[in-house]
Amino acid sequence: MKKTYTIHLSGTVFHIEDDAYEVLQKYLISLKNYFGDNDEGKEILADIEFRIAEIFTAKLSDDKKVITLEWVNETVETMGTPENFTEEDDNEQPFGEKTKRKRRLYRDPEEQILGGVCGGLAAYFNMDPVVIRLIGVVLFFITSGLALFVYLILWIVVPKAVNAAQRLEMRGEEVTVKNIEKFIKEEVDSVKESYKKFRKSGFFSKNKA
Amino acid sequence: MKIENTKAQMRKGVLEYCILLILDGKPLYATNILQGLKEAKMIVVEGTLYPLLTRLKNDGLLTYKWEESTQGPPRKYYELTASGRKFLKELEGSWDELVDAVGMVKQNRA
Repeated sequence: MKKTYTIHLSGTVFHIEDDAYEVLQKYLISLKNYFGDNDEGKEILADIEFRIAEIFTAKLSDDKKVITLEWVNETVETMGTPENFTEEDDNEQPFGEKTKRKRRLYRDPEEQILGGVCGGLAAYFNMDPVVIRLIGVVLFFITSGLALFVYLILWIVVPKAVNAAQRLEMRGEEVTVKNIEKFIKEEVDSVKESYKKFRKSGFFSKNKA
Repeated sequence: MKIENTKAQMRKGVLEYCILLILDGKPLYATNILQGLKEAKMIVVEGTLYPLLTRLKNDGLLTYKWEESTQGPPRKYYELTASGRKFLKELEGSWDELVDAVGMVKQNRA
């Protein structure tokens, strides 16, 4: 048994297994970063998504209704990764130019006490969140409470870093396939770790599984 | 100097010419163009075609229109513009020159 997601690519709805979804998502993000966020890049990406949808549609049949990891890997191989494009295209001005990495301010859900604002600021300035929090507390007293309003405004205005790409952006790391892969691996490991702890805690009985 | 790089560069130069050739006379959508190019082993990964098509379109050599398809969503059919046809004529000329030039060099050496 596997969990599936419902996605739509180029207007066609597909069911996709969750591991396949992860790979497809990071592949599309890497393409988006490679081709850039302007009209030209968007058009290229839309064309590629169209082709991917077409490949998936051709693979679907009555007994195969869900996109598997294998299909996604095959498709990525057919379409090629940004690394393949640069190999074939090394004289051209790189599309990657537009993807110059920049740090963005997010709220960090992993370093969260209230809204994750301090954690996000810490990632942005590459500092320890504890230091930022201390500065925050000091500011609170100096400004006689005004800092709290600033905090609340930031909480409202700054988006939360929900997915892997955003969390990499938050840390100012380049959003490449490799980085996202590394990141997701780390995530999975930490989930496994907590799962193990969870089992050890005796909460989980095999009979229920 | 890697042989793969040189080969890729040679192929890349000819690739635009081939796309225009394939589109000469009949509008096609990307997957048809891909078939032609893959059969001829002109491209390795399909993803390289799309930025090229977009670039050729933005340069005014190609244009496209959406056409309904019997299976799946509407498709983007590319065709040559007037300046695309002119461009292709010139490329054909310079391709012939190149072939002649290489032929001549080979012959003189022998």
